Amino acid sequence: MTRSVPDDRLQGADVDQGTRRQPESGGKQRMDHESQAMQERERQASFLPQRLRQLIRDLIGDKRVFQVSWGKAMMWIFLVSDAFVFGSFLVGYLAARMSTVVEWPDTSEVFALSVFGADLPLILIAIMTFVLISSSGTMAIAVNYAYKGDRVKTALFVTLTALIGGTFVLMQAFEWTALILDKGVVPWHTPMGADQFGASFFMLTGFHGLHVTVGVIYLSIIAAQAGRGVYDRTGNYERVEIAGLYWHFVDLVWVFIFNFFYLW
Amino acid sequence: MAQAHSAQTTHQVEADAHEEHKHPPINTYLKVWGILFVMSALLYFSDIAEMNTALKRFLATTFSLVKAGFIVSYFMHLKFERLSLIYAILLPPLLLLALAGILAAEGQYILGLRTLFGGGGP
Repeated sequence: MTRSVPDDRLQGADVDQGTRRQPESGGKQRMDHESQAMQERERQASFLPQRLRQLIRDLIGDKRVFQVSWGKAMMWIFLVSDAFVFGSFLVGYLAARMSTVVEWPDTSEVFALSVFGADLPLILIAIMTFVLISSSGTMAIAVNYAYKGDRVKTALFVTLTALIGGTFVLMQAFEWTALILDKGVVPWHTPMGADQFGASFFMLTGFHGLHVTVGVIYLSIIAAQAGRGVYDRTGNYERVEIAGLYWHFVDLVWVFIFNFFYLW
Repeated sequence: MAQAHSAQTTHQVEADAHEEHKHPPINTYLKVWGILFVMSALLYFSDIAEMNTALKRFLATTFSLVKAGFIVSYFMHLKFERLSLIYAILLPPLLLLALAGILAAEGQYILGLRTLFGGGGP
């Protein structure tokens, strides 16, 4: 009798009121006592690893599945849909590149930059990659300080991230200028090879650059709010983390553009 | 017996709650950052180095996927989320592979047509 109380279990499983009524950012009091006991019995009875049991519990229960705040869930939904947008662009680029009979330009040469008389292939793109990764790193540090509730350092690192992101946009503007004015590549024509090159290039990097630009504005707002102590007053630094998700996603997209467009 | 049981339950729940709010220390981020830097450098040198195109593409894609994995799991914190969220995020984009397959076939077909009809046009 001490071990199992079937009636309790039934109630806990079917109703699960405590979970549903949970306010957004509570976290700790998420499980009411009944479902705690249920989990414990489950743990003893099951041979599945703990995380799989958690997955099943999340999916079968009449309750919220993801157990993250709304802000975070919405950002993830946006990012997944955005992944489809960029993924479709990359696939479109693949189809355009596969179907052309004209030779594809050599990206190492097209994006070479002569520094002090030496032609360095793809150097600007490499630097842009490092710049974007660095901004991702500073953003991760900013989120880390946000967890600790460190107002000054959070604002500082988010600002730093926005500045590095701005640098990336400037470098891209430079790249575009060089390509359009010096080499004559435009969306509808590419002098050194297949016209699909220019079309794909401006679509992919243009859309990515737009995301970086929007991200810089977004991060500036977050930095200003953090610096003014808005999150100290609400006691919730989660917006920094959500902005971080967006920023890391922009970095993630660049990884694939770098591989499939510049290196391929 | 009952007391021991409830103590164990509390322990489990605390572990659960702790797991959800687990944040890696700042050193982890710095390490991941370093790894990403090194991998980007390798990617860049793979482009400069003279090697077989297929091998280069294979290496570059592998590195890129590893990089993406590090960004998603550590920077985007997905490794520390619940499996329900992880699967909901990572599984749907796999559909893009189907799209890629379909459009690759289509691309081949159009290339065939263009070659067949004298290679005119773009």
